[in-house]
Amino acid sequence: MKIVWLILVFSFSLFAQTDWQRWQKSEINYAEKIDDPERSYSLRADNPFEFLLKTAAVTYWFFISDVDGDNCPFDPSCSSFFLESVKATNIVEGTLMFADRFTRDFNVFNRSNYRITNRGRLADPPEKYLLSTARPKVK
Amino acid sequence: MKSRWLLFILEIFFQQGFAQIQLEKQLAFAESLFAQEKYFDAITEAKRLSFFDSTDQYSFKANNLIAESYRQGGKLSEAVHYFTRAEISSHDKMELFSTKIEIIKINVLRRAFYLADHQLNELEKDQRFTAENSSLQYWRGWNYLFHDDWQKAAEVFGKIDSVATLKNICEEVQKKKYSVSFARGISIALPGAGQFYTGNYVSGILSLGWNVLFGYLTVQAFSAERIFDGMVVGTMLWLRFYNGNLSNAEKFAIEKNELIKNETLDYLQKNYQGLKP
Amino acid sequence: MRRIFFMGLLSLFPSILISQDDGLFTPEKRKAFADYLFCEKDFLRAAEEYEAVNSDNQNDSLKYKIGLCFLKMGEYEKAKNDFSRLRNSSLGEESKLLMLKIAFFQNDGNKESTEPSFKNEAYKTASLRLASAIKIKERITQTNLISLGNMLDENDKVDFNNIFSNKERWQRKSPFAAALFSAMVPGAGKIYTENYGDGITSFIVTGLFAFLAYDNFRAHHNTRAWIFTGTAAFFNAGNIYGSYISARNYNLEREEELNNEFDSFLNSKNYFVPKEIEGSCK
Repeated sequence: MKIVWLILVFSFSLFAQTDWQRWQKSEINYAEKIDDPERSYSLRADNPFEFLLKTAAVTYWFFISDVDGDNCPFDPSCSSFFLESVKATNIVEGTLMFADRFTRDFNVFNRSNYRITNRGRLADPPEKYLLSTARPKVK
Repeated sequence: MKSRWLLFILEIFFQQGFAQIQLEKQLAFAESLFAQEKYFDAITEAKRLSFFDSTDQYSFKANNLIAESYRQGGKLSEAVHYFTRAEISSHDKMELFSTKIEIIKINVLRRAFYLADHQLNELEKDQRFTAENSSLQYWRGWNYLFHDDWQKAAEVFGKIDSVATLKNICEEVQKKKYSVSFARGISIALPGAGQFYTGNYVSGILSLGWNVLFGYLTVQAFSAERIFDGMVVGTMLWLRFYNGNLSNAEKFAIEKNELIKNETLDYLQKNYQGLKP
Repeated sequence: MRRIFFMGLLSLFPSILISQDDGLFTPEKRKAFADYLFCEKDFLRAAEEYEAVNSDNQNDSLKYKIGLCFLKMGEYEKAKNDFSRLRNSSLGEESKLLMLKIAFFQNDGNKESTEPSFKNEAYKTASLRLASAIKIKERITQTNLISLGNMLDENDKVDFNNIFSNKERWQRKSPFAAALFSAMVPGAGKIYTENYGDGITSFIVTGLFAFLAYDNFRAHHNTRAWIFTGTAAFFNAGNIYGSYISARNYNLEREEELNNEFDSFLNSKNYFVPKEIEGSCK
């Protein structure tokens, strides 16, 4: 019995943090949370160029990527990576980043240096590869 | 001399009675906060009760109240922790049983299937609780239900007379669910068929289209003895879309089943009137 | 008759007491309860109890305890607010030291580090070490680390030097060199930054397309040849860019490792602050 108490007392401090902020009633949903879709098929864009790029990407997703199986180990996928890179930089830098990513996609030797996301993919966000960011959060 | 003794005894008696009244008042205070849904404060006051309760006579009630408050706040690990404390300080068989059931209910709710299953088995083996068997079966049914095993849930609920509704709901879900292996199987035979089965017609047509096209190109290349082209188109394109077709058929069936499950769970949470986890 | 009257009076006694007593809410009892919560790490509830006892805001030691609660919960602004009001109290030295600790957490060395003036020798040493740690956190360099190492006790100094004298931790890669290597031999820059798999892949992919281009030029399939040339150039350009970034990320990772090591060393030493001033629990 004493041991049970000792375990209780020690395990207690593990979640003492729960009460470091006041909380309210909150009901647990019986239904399981379904992940948000990985891709946004919206064509909303800030400029005509982005609109063109998005249209191309969505067309590619609809006709090819969605029906040719799960071939990309990364999150975001290569096409989304390209879109995000161009949006974060410019067409030249974005294309360079994409070419580099494409090569890494071919790498079958070693992919141990990526964090695994909730979806079981390798985390590889474009922010990690921006020239301009002085101190991106690595990994 | 005699009256001094009497006074002394009375003094002690009153002091004890006084402390008792204070603790009783504190318990009522904590419970009133709980009733007002002020769960954080209810915990504070129950903890205060525990702290000043030097003989631990309120330990069971205080810990139960804390656990219940945490559950209301959706903090399930903490709730289990305090139910365990309540379990340790329970005074009789029924208190012990009720806390054990509360812990099982939380494990059902947080989908700790094997843990809840193990705990139910232990209770079933326990001679002290043989009279509570139907209650154990009831929670076992919920455990299967949350574990997405509707057939077993229906079987278990079927053994209890009073819960025919639950049994029917489980059987209905079992009927409504798509068979993942069937979806895959028919897509092996005819690309896109599994997608049609799950109602994803556009994807099914696209899959069928690509497979026909690349299958044709591959066969044509081989028959024209362009072996290299045939190999490239066959492995890089046909196989790719064929595999994509299989994984999509499976994926859609799983997604649809997920929706059916969630709809039912949601319905049960909102509409089922009996005991729930 | 007298006895019955006496008994009757006595039986009234408890109800009189209850009506006059605050029960479990007397200041002494609340403080005892707060101390218990504090030791259970239930800091928010503890702070609320201390605040209830100290409603007139007169008691310095309670104010200090409230500050400690916020400090432990990582609510630095609130903690700082409490401690700064205690500067000139009997707990002034402790408060100032804890404010220095907060300055470390908040990466804000400007105000506190220049000021420490402690009479207590132990606090003085602690404050000097903490001030030095704050400087290091701003920019982690070997010289800075050595100067802190020299301030430590013999045992700590050995631990400290073991962690930070490791040469690998200070190894850096030049992004320009990485880019240059990859421009000369595809993938070489990635190998230089120890991304061997990516380096070899780059070499194979770029090499393959370059070969296909060469082969098609030789066979006078010019259109195909130019397509392959473009593809090879595309991959190699990405590879040069990627090598530059890879070296930069290598350096960032080393730096992050160093920072983490430094943080965990300080954490294991409680940031040089004597533990007893942060509330003692049995």
